[in-house]
Order: sequence, then C-alpha cells, then structure tokens
Amino acid sequence: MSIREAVRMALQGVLANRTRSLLTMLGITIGVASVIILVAVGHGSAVAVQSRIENLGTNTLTISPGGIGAFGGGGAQRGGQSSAAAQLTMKDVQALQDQSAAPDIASVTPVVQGQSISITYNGTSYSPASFIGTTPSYEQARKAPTEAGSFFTQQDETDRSRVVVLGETVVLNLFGTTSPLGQTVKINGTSFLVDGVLTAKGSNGFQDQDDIAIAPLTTTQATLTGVSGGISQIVVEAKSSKTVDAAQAEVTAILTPTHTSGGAATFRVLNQASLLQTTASTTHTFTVLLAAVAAISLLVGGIGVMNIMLVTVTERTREIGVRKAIGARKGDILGQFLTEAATLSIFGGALGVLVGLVGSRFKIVGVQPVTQAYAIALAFGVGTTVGLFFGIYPANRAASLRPIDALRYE
Amino acid sequence: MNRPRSKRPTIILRGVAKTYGSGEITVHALRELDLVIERGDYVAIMGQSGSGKSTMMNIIGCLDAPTRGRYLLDGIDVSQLDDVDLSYIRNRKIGLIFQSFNLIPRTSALRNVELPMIYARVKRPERIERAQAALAAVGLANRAEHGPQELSGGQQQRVAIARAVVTNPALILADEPTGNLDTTSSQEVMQIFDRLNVAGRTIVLITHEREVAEHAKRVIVLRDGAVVSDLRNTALAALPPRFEPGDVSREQVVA
Repeated sequence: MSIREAVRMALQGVLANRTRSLLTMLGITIGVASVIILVAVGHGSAVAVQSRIENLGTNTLTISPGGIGAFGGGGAQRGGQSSAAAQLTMKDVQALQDQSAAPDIASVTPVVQGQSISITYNGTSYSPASFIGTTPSYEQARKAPTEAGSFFTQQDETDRSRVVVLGETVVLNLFGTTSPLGQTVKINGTSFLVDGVLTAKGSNGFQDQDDIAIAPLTTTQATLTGVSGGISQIVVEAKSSKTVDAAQAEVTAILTPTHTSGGAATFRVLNQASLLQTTASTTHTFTVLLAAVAAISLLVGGIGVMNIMLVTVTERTREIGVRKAIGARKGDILGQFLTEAATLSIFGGALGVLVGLVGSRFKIVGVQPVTQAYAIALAFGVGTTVGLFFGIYPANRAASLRPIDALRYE
Repeated sequence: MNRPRSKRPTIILRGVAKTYGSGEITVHALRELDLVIERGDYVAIMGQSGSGKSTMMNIIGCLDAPTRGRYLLDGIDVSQLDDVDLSYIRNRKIGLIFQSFNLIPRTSALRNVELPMIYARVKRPERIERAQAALAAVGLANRAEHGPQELSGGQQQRVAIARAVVTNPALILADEPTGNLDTTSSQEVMQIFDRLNVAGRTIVLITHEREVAEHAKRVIVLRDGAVVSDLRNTALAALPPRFEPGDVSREQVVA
C-alpha cells in the first residue's frame, strides 16, 4: 500500500467521525498551544527583567561598605556604627578617580543616602523611599536622565546649591498635575529649588524607582546628613562593557589596603553584569519549569489520541477483518491506523501552533509574551511524535487481529 | 479466459479437523474431513447450522487454520505459510463473498472494488480501469460512486462479487451469498456465479436453499462435521445445469 493510499484511507477515517476527531485533536492542540504560549511568557518576563536591570547600567560596579557576607541594602551601614576601616570616604572616591591606578574606570560617583527625609510643598508633606546626595555623574552612571528641567551641575556641587531633582512619584504626590520646575520645596525644613524631573522608570520588581529625590552631595552632607556618616555607596562606571571585570579588579586593588579588618575586606563590589547573568539563569529555569508543565498537557493529549484510536479500532474490527480477508497484510493495517493517528496529531499540532501564535499576541498577567521559534518547532514536533507514539499500541492491536476473529466480531 | 482448464485439483483437504475448547466441553466442528475439489468445479455445500460448513469455508478461505490435518491449495501447504504469504493468497488466489456483503462502510462501490488491488500494489490508473470493468460486469457501472448505504442488498452483493473477482482469483468462495437477498436478487447473483464458472473459475458456495444448490455441478452435504452425501449432478467440464446464455457475454465476466 502506497503512502498516498494510506493517507487517503486515514483521511477517510478521520472525516468519518468529525466531532470525535476534532475533540481528539483538541487535546494535542491545547498541549502544543500551551507549550508555545508558556515558553513565550517565560521569555517575555526574562526580557522584561533584563531590560530593568540594564536600566541601572550594565557597565557599572556598586561599592558599598560591609563584609562579603553582609548582603544588605546600600544604606545598611552608616552613621558612627561602622569602624573607620569599614567606612567609604571621599578619599576612596579620589583614589578611584586616579587614572594611572584605575585606567578602566570612566567615572566615580559617590552616593549618600538621607534618612527620614521629608519634603514639604505648599503644606503637603511626603517622604520619598530614597533620598540621594550625589555628583552629576550619577545621571550617566545610573541612567537617570531628566524628563523636564535638568540635572544639577558640577557648579551646583561646588556651590552647595540647594537644588533637587525629583522622581515622578514624588512629583505626583507633592504637585499633582502642576509643574514643579522652579518651585521651592522644604526638605527637612531647608528650602530647595526643583531643578528637574527624572524620566519615569517604573518598578524594578522590588521597588518603585521613581520614588526618589536627588540633591548635590555637598549640599546633602552640609544640610541633611553631615559628613561623619561617610559615603553609602560608590558607583563606578567602567569605560566599556568589556572592561567591567578589569575595573572591578582595579577597585579591589585600590580599596583593599585601606579597607581590611582582620584579614577580610570591609567593602563589597556588586557587578551589574554578573547580576544580569544570575537573573538570566533564574528566568531560564523559570521558563523551563513553565515548559515542563505545558509538556504534561501534551502527554495528556497523546493519551487522548490513544484512547480514541482504541475506540476506533474496536468499532472497526469487522472492517479490519474484511480488509484482511481480501488481502491486507499486517503492515497495511498498521500503516492505515498509524497514519490516522499521525493525521490527527499533525492537524491538532498545526492548529495548536496557530492558537499559540495568536494567544502570544496578548499580554498575559502583565507580561508581553515573546514567541520563540525553537518552542514552536519543539512543541509541534513533540506533539505529533507523541500522537504517533500513542497510536502505535492501538494500530498494532488492529493489525494483530486474526481475520476470522475480526470478521466474527459483532 | 486467462488460464487453461486443468484437471489438477485446486483444493485438497487431508484429515482436516477443527475443534473448539478442550476437555469435557470440546466441540468438534470438523472431524477428519477428506475432500478434493477440482479446478473449474462448481460445488454447493449444504447442511444445517452447526454442521461445520462455515468452519470448512473459513479453512479453505485461509481465514482460519485447522487443528489437525493438511490443506493444500494449488499444491501449496497453507499451514506452512506466514502472515505475508497468507495475505498474498487471500488477495490473489481466493475471492471471498459473505452473507452480510461486508462492504467497507462510507466508501464508494468503486473504491470498495479497488481495495484488493490497493493491497496488491496495482497502480491507480490501472486499478480504476479494472474496478470499473468489474462493476460493469455485474451490471453496476452506473452505481460506481454510490456508497453501500445507498445500494440495495442485491446491489451490495454484486459489488462484493466484483470486489472478489477483480484480482482474478481462480477460486471463488461464497458463504450463503443469497441468505440476505430476495428471490429476484438471488437469481441475479446466481446467474453471475454461473457465468463466472463458465469463465473457468472454481466456485464453492455454502447454502441452505435447494434452488441455489441446483446451480452447482456437485452438492456436498455435511452433518456434525462430516460429509454425509456427495453427489455430482453435472460433469466437471460441462456447463452449469441452470446456466442461461443470456444477455451478458462471457468477455464481460472475465473482465
């Protein structure tokens, strides 16, 4: 029996019971579609998380005081609690800015975090999640451009100008819809001029990145935090993404002599690029997990094919007997029913690809799915293989029937 | 006529027995049957229900194997054959016709007749041509595209006969072919058998009806799995007794 005849017979078998064939295909369809959609969702969320991390700048290193194991927030240690060796100071900043010792470092940005800061405008009071005193290079290093107005300048830094740049959330809470530019706010009782508004970044998954206020470092130390607390963080920007590791080595070399306590370093360097890698592998695991769940539905779809094929074989036992009586070989019957199972799974799989592609166009729980060619190929391939595999048992059962038994079957 | 008529026997049964079950409840469907049917013969097998006629037919048709004894078809010991060879024999050497027609449902008459040739790997154009000729020979050229559900019982049986003869088997086996048919349809079907015999095919048919048996040259009666009567009405080489050289020419039957 030629393939062409096998396909003709299979199509005839599939079309003979349309409703049932459709329901059988549905199992494979759902399986294939869910693999495609869930892998797309996994990738979509990975892409989203990575773009948020890239928002922080991938060329940057963040140095914070504290031992290796003390993985806390940037402002975890400040005030007079830390020993002198543990504190980061402006001396460290200057040391890092030395181009001969640190040729791969493009910029060094000290950051001071203000505590219990309250901003008041027109009788309204608001406490931002973070208040930062820093230098103008922060705008570049942390990718914090202004949407309106401008970031403060080196001149403001030198003059200890009382200027501030506000995040979107702070603006919304204090000013509502009116423009804050040129307005004067009181920060812990001191007047500051609003110089600019930062471009909105949204949430990074942990906190609202727009709930922030930034002022010059000198001003902040002079009016709000004092100089004794040292520096909470130093953001170091490498010259390119390729020199990040070299820059990290230089940072460690420069800071270790002055920041060691009992043989252990009292500072930590967070590499943004390695954070990106860690997140990438985490989201990859997440995607694999989703795909595994979807794969189970594919398996169930395959069992559906087997179930229906068994029913079909039982129903058509007499027909199988007749076919054998007029000369069908075992292989002919096997081929016919396998082709029928394959037809069901291929159509079901194709339909699943269609549903998966359409379904991936919609946002799912806030994630825009990103369809993957490999997922489509894999889902379709596995879907049809599963259908075919589960078709083997019923087809073999049909082919092994003795003609006399099959003919007598009522 | 494709093959010269020869005296070589087509069917030889030697001590063929078939039993079902075992011990106390053993049923002897056939008891040590010896039978020779020669090429070109036209044999009616009669007997009551349970006399073993269907069991014998299934063994001759290679659908079932005997418990003991030997069955030679055209000199070949069938019990030695594997599945593929048996399929070949069922396909090329034997044409089977059933009481309940057994056409494939939801499949056109033409396609039903094509089926044995599909399994014989005959190319499509030739297959369709031969199937159409076979349908024309049984007077159903104009019903080729109709499914079994659109055909009368007599028409369905004629399609089944076309399907049985389309691969040119020398042996036609029919298990009560007129059992489900009215008188007119029965006569039509029997006339086709007569013409097939005239064209040189060996015919073995099971029947309850004396009228049908009168078409045969030889009548065998079975009882309790054994032959009780074996009468020859007409010489092997003669025409079937009820043969009416009618409106259909012999060439059409041979197709």
